Amino acid sequence: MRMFHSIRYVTQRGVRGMAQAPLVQLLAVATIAVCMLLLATVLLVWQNARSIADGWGVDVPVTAYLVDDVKPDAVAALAERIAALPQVERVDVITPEQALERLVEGLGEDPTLTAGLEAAVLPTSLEVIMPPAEAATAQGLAAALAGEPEVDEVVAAGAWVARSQALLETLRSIALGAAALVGFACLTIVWSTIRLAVYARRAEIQILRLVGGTPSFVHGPFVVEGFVQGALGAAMAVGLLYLGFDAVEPLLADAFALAFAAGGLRFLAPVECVAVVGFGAALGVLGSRAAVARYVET
Amino acid sequence: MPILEFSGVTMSYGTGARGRTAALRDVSFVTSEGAFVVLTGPSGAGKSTLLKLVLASARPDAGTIRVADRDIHRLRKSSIPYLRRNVGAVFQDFKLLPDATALENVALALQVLGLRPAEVDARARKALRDVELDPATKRSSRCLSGGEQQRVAIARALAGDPAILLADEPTGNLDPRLSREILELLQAVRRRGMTVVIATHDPLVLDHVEVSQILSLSMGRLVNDTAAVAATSEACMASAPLSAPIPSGEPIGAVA
Repeated sequence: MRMFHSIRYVTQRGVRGMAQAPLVQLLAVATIAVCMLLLATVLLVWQNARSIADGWGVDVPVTAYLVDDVKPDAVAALAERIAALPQVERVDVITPEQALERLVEGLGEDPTLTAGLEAAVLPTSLEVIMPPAEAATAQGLAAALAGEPEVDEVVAAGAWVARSQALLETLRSIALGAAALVGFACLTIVWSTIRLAVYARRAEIQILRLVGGTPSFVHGPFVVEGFVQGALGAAMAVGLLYLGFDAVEPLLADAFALAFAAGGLRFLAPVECVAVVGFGAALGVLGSRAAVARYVET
Repeated sequence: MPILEFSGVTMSYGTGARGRTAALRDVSFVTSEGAFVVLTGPSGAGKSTLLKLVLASARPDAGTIRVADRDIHRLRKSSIPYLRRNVGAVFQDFKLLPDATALENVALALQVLGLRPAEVDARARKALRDVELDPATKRSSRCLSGGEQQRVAIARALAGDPAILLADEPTGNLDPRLSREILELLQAVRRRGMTVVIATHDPLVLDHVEVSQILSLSMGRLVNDTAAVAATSEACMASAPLSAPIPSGEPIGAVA
């Protein structure tokens, strides 16, 4: 019961402390918001880069372009034989009309790019879908398909997969490095900001210690403040990022239509937004604890 | 029964090339429960350092300090807040939360105990009434007079019912009339059975309170301890009476 009362007093003092210095609180929340915006941007870019890289290589590991005069029965029979292979998930037959439709869609709204182009000039193709785990066998399958009489040319995405994986690894390293740098900078800035707020109230800390406040009772209100500042700042950052994403996404989608053909840009998932807010709250708590520790320990 | 005991306590400040400055040198004394102790000496004599040691805000370089028979510098860090709940402290600069009311300031000392809000409120109000202040006042402590602020500080120190009340220059910021009031208040506290230790260089203190022990410090050394002197005198009286032995066979009335 005493613990319950202590938590109540600590929370009350934390809220009261915030109300007494609204400008300092605003500064702390704004600082955390800017830092978390940087971190969340890194996360968003990383997520989309990974999604695009995945889309480039793994969706269609092998595409077989068929000869011009191939009969529909022969196409169906070949597709059935390939689909029966154990490493193949499914086979999609892409007619010349479907190929043209995709091309028009991929090149965007500029009609001059596809003016005069007819479906007849495009070949029928088979898209062989393989599970990501089987992507490494794409080259072997491509070599086998090249020997079929109905097949004119085979494009294996094995090399693309390897390249996309390499790109993905590089992006991952860059994102981790950037996140670590930004995270460290955030922690330092947040700590300095909260330390200013704590410094302004060092007399209160001294008094609480003199009357017999335990360390948790003394730094409790500051931890409450740090939690609220961190969560508010991070929530603001997520909101700002969403507004920015909403404004920029159509422009990027137009400019890089081919790159995003396999799947458009997407904002952070709700669970990721909650994680960002949670991380901001944790940052606020850690910053407060670190800032107040020197006054509590002495 | 001893409530406070210093034994060979030495304490110095500072580090590095400039060396350490001794604040207390080999200080030893014993204070009995319920005593009114005045710690005197010029500025820099070590009075405040001695009080800091009792509050475990500083650690001695050598020697032991016992409060209620416990060696306080053997306490774990986590136990120090519990020691402070048993040692109330009053300071020259009051150390009040300036934006909080008198009641809120006093309540703080009870909230750390984890008491129910109703109990905190009742005890804080009683502590304020004990120092003759109105608990209902809504003024923040920064709006109170110096004497009122010192009363609030005393009420806060007493609210938790500590065994010892330490007061560091409690009249230092007050005019003579307010000083007398505060000293009378501390005297009343002592009459309730609490041990009171005042550090001061205000001569007014010795004129207005019934002091049971005077500890005089000079340059960190304890140069006079009236309790020790009294104890020595009593011991001497017991072992070697000053009056000459009365010759046997002579009537007492014939000596003069």
